[in-house]
Amino acid sequence: MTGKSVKSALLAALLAAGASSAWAAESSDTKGFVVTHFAFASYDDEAADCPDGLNLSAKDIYLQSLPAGERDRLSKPEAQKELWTLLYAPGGNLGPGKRTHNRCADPADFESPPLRTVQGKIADGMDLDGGDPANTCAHQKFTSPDGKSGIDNQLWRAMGCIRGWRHGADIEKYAQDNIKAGEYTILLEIQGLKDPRNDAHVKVGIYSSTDQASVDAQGNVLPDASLQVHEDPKYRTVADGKVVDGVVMTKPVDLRLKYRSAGYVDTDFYIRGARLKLTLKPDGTASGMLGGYYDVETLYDGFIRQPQVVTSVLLGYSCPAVYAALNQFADGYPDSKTGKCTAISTAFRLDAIPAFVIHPKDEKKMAEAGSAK
Amino acid sequence: MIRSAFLVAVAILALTGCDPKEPISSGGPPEIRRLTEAQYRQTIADIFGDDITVAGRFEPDMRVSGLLAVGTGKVTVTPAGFEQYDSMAHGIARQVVDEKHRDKLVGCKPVAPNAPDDACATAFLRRIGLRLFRRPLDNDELKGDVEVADAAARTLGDFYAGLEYGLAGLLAAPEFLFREEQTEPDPDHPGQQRLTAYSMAARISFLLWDMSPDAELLAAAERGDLHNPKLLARQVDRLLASPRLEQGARAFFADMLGFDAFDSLAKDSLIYPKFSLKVANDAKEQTLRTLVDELIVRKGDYRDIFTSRKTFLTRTLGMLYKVPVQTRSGWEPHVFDPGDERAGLLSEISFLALHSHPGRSSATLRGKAIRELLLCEQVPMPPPNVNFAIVQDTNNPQFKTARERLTAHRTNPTCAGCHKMIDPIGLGLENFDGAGQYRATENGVPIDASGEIDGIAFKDAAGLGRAMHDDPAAVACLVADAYRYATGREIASGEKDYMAWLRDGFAEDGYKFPKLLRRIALSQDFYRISGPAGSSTVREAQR
Repeated sequence: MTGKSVKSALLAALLAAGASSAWAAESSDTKGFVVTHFAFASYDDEAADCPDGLNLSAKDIYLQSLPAGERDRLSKPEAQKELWTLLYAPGGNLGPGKRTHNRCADPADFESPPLRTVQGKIADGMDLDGGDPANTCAHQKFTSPDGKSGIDNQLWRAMGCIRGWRHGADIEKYAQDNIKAGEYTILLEIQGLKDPRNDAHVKVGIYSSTDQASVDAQGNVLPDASLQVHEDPKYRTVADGKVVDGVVMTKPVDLRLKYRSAGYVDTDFYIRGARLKLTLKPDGTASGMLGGYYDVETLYDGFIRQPQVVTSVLLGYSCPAVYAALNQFADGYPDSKTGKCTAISTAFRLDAIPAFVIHPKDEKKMAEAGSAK
Repeated sequence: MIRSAFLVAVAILALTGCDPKEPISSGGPPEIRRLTEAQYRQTIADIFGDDITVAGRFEPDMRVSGLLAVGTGKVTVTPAGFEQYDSMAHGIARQVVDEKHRDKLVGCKPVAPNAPDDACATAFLRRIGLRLFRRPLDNDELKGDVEVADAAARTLGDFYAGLEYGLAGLLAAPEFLFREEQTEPDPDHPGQQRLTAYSMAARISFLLWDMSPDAELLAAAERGDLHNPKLLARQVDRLLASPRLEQGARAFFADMLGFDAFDSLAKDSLIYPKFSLKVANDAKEQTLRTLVDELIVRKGDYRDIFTSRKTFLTRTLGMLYKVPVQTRSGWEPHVFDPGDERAGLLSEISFLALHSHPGRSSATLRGKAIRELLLCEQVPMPPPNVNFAIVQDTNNPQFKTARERLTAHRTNPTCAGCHKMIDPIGLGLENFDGAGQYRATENGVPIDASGEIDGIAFKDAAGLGRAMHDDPAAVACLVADAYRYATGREIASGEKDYMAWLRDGFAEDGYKFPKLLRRIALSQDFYRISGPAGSSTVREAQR
């Protein structure tokens, strides 16, 4: 956004509604983006990660537990309805939003073979704790694909041997498709940017938006759209940051971003101690990583409980096993009483293109919004 | 003495609208013009209400001498088109007499609902006939129509069903579908003809509101007010003060700017992914909104449409203009900065995208459009068998910019003459691609958007806009188009002085568009009929 268009926008606002309701426009030292790609950081080496193979789905586990004759009978196409009913039991068939006792809704009540987890040494992510054991639970570190040691990505360790969570698989595709489908929109805004190469202090807004990203006929998200930050201040976070050699880096901050998927998942990316590392590219786009500790209960509810048993079959996992693994590998934000970690380290790869981040007329100052959480 | 004479003239003009300096001119023939779709719909809505649905397909309009308005006098109705009009007539009539609307719209109740009622049918058809035919029905017309309604009521055993047939007969009549101008002997100029007061009312109303006259204007016509300059001015000023003037202005500028071409505008979605049907619709609306705001709401100088940086945007358009738009859905005003590349009509997406190819810009099409639409000049068609290969190949490494390609193309002497006249204008808009988006380079080469128009050099689009602002031909073109639009015909040879008077008056009025419309609507030439005495009607013409 250029300085001249800022003046234009302000003039337009004055013309539209009088000076009393002039709205905040982007200024010349502000860059806005809409996120076009947002996916859990992963790594593509299945042989090294999962030497025992990928996890079995709830269906496979159940069938394997049966005598051979019964297993063969229930594997036949005409027995699928009966099989699914058994998989859902107890509780019967579940639709979105229904809360009935079953193995995904109440994983602690069910037993399951443990989850096969990542055995490899390499994974994408960030060093979140800097090797300081304070405020973490004991965990192993990864080395990043480009050789950096100390990478914290326990979510990958827990989930990386699930077929639907592998690099480029279902979870990544859902996240991508849901942006294009307008299910969720994430905006980034860098304020106070005097030098896009090096700047000792900037403010970085990380927002959800209820506006759908505009897409072209091929389904690609279009740049230069005006998209408004979420009305709920809970989904507007502002972090302090700096720019070093064209890379924006923020200090840790707790954030929530809205995530929805095809009408059956409505949850938050609730990331504690989140930090953004964003490379500003010469063509105006940006890409980078958002790392932090995902609140385990929020993660489980949004990505496992709400998608229900059917998703555990499609993506290849057992809900009780996932629940146990997430709690086992949680490495951040220990409970003050029990000492048990409540959040799990993770990271998201993201790409973003220019957009105009619109703030509603009645929005309080960004700093206030950030501290309102 | 001179001063007092001048003041008297000014006072006469202000009070009566009658300018004693208006030269004697020939006037023109009466016209028979088919209603446009918009005029049809607006008239039905005005008479019966917005909730009456008009469902049907209209015959296509025809552009003649640059205006659809002139074409309306050259078109007829095909048998298939008449079937559509008949179907729409019955659809409208059915709604007007249905239980939901009859009490409000029919205005009287039959003695018995299952039998004819002459008095009620006559009262209704007389009242509505006046509005639809834009003149009173004559006795034979009214009698015939009431007979139709009565006969149908008898057959169907339902007064309202009968009335539907009577009303449908009026709606499908050529006297409604065509604006039939009637003349009468001019008592002030023996041997000459003038428009009847009702035909004057129609001319005024279609010019200013793009619809049939309202009841008050028809009442003024009935009283003979419109032949009295002072009372004519009162009516014209009433129409000019109405919000419906915006509707009239939109119709005029949509016609002048050739916006019917939006109906078939398409862009290559791989080359211009942001361009969509919504963009096209919004771009058209942006320009009309901007013109109405500049010329009608703010009563600005017409020439400023070429330089003004004030406009209106939606979020959809904001993506192509690359500016933030606060309003989530709908329009908001926007002012481009004085240093911005955008200034005036020529840099709006409507003009830039409409006069481009599906996958590339076109300095030639844009230059031609400026010459033809905005300067009223005629650019010859290209000769047959022209080789456009160089111009069309935007990936030719030898000719990276449009300027280079056109320069190479102009080496053909057959093409050079016309291109010399249009390309230097259109090249001024090369900073905007085929979808109207700003670009500083083409194929990595900085774009040189300098050019010249009729000896005036400019550096960029804003400079071209300033040149157009100062070009007397642009003003003259608007005046000529407004008059041709108003009359639906070409300017007659005997109207040269009159046109000069209109142009001078437009300048004296500060180039205010509503004042131009007022000057036309109050001028004697606007209603003067040339040719021998006698009247013609649609039915006579059809014979």
